[in-house]
Amino acid sequence: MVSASQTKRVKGYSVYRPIVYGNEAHPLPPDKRPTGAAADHTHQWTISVKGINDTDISYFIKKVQFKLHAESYTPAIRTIETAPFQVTETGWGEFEIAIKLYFHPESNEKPLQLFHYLKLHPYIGTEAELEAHRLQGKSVTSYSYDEVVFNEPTEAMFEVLTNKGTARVPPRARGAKGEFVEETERMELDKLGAGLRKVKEQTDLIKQKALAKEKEVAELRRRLEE
Amino acid sequence: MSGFQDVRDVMDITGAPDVTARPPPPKKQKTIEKRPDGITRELYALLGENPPPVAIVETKFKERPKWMGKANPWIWKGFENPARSDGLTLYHWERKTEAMDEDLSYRFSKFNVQVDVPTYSDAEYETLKNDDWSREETDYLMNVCREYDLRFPVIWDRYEFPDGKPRSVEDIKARYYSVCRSLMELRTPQNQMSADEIVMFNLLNFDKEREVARKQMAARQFARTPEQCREEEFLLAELKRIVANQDKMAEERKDLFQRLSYPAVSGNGSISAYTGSQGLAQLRDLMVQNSDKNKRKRSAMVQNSADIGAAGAGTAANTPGGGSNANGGAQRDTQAVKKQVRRLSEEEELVFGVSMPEKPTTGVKLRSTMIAPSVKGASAQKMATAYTQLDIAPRLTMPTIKTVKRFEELQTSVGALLDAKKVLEKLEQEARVLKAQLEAKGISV
Repeated sequence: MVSASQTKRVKGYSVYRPIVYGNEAHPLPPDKRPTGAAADHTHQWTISVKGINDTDISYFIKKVQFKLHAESYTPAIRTIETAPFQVTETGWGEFEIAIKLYFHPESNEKPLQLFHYLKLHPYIGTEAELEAHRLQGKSVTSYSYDEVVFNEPTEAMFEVLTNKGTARVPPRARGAKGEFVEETERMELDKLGAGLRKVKEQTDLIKQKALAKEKEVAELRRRLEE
Repeated sequence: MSGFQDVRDVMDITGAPDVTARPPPPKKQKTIEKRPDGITRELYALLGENPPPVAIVETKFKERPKWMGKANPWIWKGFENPARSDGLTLYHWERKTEAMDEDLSYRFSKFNVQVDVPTYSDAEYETLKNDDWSREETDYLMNVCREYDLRFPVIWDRYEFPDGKPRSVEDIKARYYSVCRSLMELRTPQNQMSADEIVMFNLLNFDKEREVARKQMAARQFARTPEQCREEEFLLAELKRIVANQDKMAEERKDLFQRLSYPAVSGNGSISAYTGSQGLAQLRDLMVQNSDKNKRKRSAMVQNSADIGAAGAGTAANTPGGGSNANGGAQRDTQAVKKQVRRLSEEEELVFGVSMPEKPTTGVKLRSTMIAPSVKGASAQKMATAYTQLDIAPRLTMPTIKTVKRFEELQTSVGALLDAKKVLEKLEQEARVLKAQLEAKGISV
């Protein structure tokens, strides 16, 4: 039996896996500061790439490279080769982190680039609310859901992907809201559906108006030529 | 001392006498020979206080020769050479020594080494008979060999057997050695020979053909032109390089074949199996079979995917989230066709996220990047405003297959809406223009 090739691709197929990437940050309490944190660092944050519900992704992801703010962190490029693929640091500023996903060599694929804006401060709220938030030491999270799609994967990769892990997403959120579950997907679908309908309505309206206008124009022309 | 004081008084020098002794005049100290630690030896030699390196030798005349005494007597003596057969007496000067032996053997006689060319009796000659060589010639040959100490080039040069045909060096050698060998064999049968004799016997085995060929080759080698030499060197270098890289070449070839993968290469990656006409036919069949297999699988899968849509809704709810592939394995399709890729059941496809999209672009992507961006910047702005009006985020929260599809639908419909609006605007514009024209003409609208 010929072993699954690492170069020959399975035509016409595509396999995907969902991943969740993003960061979680909490302000540092002035009394319990972790060792090594500079004096002006206000938050501790962790950026990570995980599977849904913390499922294992190391069977198709070989390593993850996080490129942090070069002037503030040395080394700026952090390579994580085992699960959990995450980097924990302290800091005071928000910046964009470039994440590169390296796949196993049997996939014969180039590394995939993602970007994530590190979020330390809460999204909304008045000044007072923000202040209160900070004092409480509540953490701020910013995660994105995405799917890694392998279009026409190599035979070897196809084997791996059809034996390990799953593309499914849990149906319902277990705990905190904001997790990526089937429910979220449905909500989005509904919203999109609603938007679609509205657009369709408007389009129909406009089409009607256009028809009417066309008749008017034809009428006017006719009168002009009289 | 008071004397000094008097002198000073006389000379009117004032001043208290110096009691403190003046520092003694600086002694010329012998500078300590600083051992050349800090400075190199050579530097020290230049700078330090050293005796001059050159020792001057006075030339002396030669000494008067010592007169020994009596002179050493030399004797005019006659001597005989045992190596000679004629008893010739020659004379030479000899130094007189204490022990005067008579007839000291001439010290050069030991160099008269003779080669022992074998002699044979008539009876023995019976076994040595050769058509090419007569008895007389053979005898003559032996004598000549003896005379010239088996120096075959010389022998060949001087070989003049009356009425004999011309003999080459190899001929002479061959005859001589065969004679010796046969004689040896005759005198001591092989199994009775001692070790040395056996060695001798083997050495006598003269192969004329080989010798002739060897000499020809040597002559040719000697007469080679420079071009030939260079060519030979070049070929040798090539050979060495090929041998050295052989392993690497084989490896590369195998790798290349694996990449081609059409068809499955057997064993060590050599294509020798396919070089014959039968092999070629085999190769063709293999390739046809391979391409066939793909097409067959595709058509089967297309049928299958049509069922997925119907069955998917039902099975998706049943199979637990984060499912394992244990139950999937049981349902695995087992086709008789030699499959290189597993065929999955509908359930498995859902579990593992396998699909067959219409526009497959090879490579890994993020689904969020697969959403085709809208055209141009100007209309993109309009679309953005449209999205905000519809209360839809420009970027999907959860890009899955379904959401992406619907989002793309939304994109196209928004695009259609914007186009429609444009058309309407154009029409309105046209209507306005016509109205104006009408009014200008004075016709009431």
